[in-house]
Amino acid sequence: MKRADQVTGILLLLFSLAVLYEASKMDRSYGNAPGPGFLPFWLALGMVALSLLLLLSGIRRSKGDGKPISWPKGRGLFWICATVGGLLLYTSVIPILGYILSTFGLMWLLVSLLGSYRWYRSASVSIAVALGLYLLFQTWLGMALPTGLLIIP
Amino acid sequence: MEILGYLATGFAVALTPINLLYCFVGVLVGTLLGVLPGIGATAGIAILIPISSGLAPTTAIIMMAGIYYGSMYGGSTTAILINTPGEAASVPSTMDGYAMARSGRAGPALGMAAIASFIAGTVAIVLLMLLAPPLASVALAFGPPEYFSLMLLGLTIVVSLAGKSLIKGLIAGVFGILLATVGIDPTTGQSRFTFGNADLMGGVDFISVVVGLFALPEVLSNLEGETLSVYETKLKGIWPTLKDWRDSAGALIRGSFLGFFIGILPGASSSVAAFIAYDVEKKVSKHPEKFGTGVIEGVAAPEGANNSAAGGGMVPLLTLGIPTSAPLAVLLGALTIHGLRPGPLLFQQNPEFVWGLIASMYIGNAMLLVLNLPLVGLWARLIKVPYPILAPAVLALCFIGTYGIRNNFFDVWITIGFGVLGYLMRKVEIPAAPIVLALVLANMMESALRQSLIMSKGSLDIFVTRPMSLVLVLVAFASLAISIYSRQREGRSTDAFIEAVSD
Repeated sequence: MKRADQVTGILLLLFSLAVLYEASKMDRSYGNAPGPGFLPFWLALGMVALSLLLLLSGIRRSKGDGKPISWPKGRGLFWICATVGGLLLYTSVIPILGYILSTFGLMWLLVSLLGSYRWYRSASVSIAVALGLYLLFQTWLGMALPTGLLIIP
Repeated sequence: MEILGYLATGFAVALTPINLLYCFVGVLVGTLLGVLPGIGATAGIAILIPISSGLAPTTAIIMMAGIYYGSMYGGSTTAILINTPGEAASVPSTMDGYAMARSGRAGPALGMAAIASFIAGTVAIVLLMLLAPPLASVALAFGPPEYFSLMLLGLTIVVSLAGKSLIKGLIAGVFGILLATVGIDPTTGQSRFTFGNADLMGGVDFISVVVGLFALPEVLSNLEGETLSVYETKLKGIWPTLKDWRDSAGALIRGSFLGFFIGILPGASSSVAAFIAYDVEKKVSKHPEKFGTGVIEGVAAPEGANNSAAGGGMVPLLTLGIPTSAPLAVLLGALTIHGLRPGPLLFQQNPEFVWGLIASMYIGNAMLLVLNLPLVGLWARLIKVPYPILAPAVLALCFIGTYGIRNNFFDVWITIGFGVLGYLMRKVEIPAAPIVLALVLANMMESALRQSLIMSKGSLDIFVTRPMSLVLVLVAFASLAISIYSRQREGRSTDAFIEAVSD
């Protein structure tokens, strides 16, 4: 936690300085009332102070203080990266492939990566979930799910 | 008996077929979310807000409130059967509930959890009904300075209870308010932090932030490599024995009242109530050494308390417009989206809504008892849905919820961004709840601040010269001071407790 607090403190400090810079360009008063920049400016200033405090407490902490962060390793790390990657890919291809096909793809990709099923089982589960969600939300609840460039919604 | 008249009006609203149907959908979804790992009430309600936009406001809120208190029922099922609480509020139930399951008494444990939830939930609604109207009439005297101080108090208490470090809690709170300032300033029309981007002008929607911070990190954390093992047991006889009843009676009553009053306090969510109720039961027990080995009052007390706390939380939400926990903050957001402004005026202007909602909670609790007593075996089987299938399905559901906000991919990208951020925040122990609370309250806070400073011609004195506001401000600072003091004194012993609170 010692290293983590230092790194978090520095990142937050940079972030809050950027926010402070942006906020300083806004009007802090509007007539004789607080303007749009009033709250952002003072909050950003507070954030600068808080990140400095966090950084200092990270430096002051003794080495053995608190458990170190347990980052995922091996398979867990692969699964997490695959899931985030899959989600990014999914959101990118929906405008092209449409909701049903993309959801089927996401499901099939992740079900096969995370689980150990035969391909036809993971494929059928994926089709069922993709169609089920579409029927539930688009057909029954009347939401407008994104359609792609293909004929399939 | 003015209240009975109002309640009759309420039942007339709640008993219409459409409201009954959506009340049932709400408690069903709530139970489901409580049982399944990977998605809780907070993210669940958020996902359903866009979907519910076509419903009448009362119907929509009846459903979402059903999810909120329904999830308290479902959480105990996994706690007892597989030692994994579906919700943080069911953590204490794992201690004796799982022990009971291992000694072959899973049935009575599940049965008592459902019965305790029902009794405490009903007690909470009765108390809500009696306390909310007088509180609302007190709050009628509140002006902008009082509101600002009240919201400040709500935020500071949540901040001081959430997470292990006060600094990190404060960072989360400040970040949440800053996030809310992105977009067009409603008072002056100037844009803030938009960098000329048209999407940012519309602001960061709280639904995408909530789904990002609560659903995605949960999925990612679950993938880190633990495999769940379901405790294989035959459920026979879910009715507790006469001895079970005698053992639990006191715990039920104490849990119900304790939970309700803890639920009213800002920041003290259902999980806090459950922990404290379990602790109290251990202290008053004649055989405290048996706790943890499968005593039924160790299930009855926390399960009762977390339900009545859910009801208690409705008091400040409806009368003052102040949410006391993350799922209530999302519920407040839902109310605002449906054009209902919680606060003292709600009781005068929308009595059909308020009393319809309260009446629906009686009905919903009865539905939950039926759903959870005879059907508990069904929920137990649901736990066996393999995670490799559940995880991507939750992701697809998150997409629907966030895309549905305004049919825009921008909100989906925001969700993914906050998902990764939320996962990293968990690692460095920055709590997520203050961000959500601050985000939902920020706009009202800022306008209350502006109105107050216009009233006082720019002087901050107005917050400390008005007696009611002064009291609120003092309590806010006291909560921060107490938090610093108690952290230094107690150190590690409160870690487990605090961890549960931060969810």
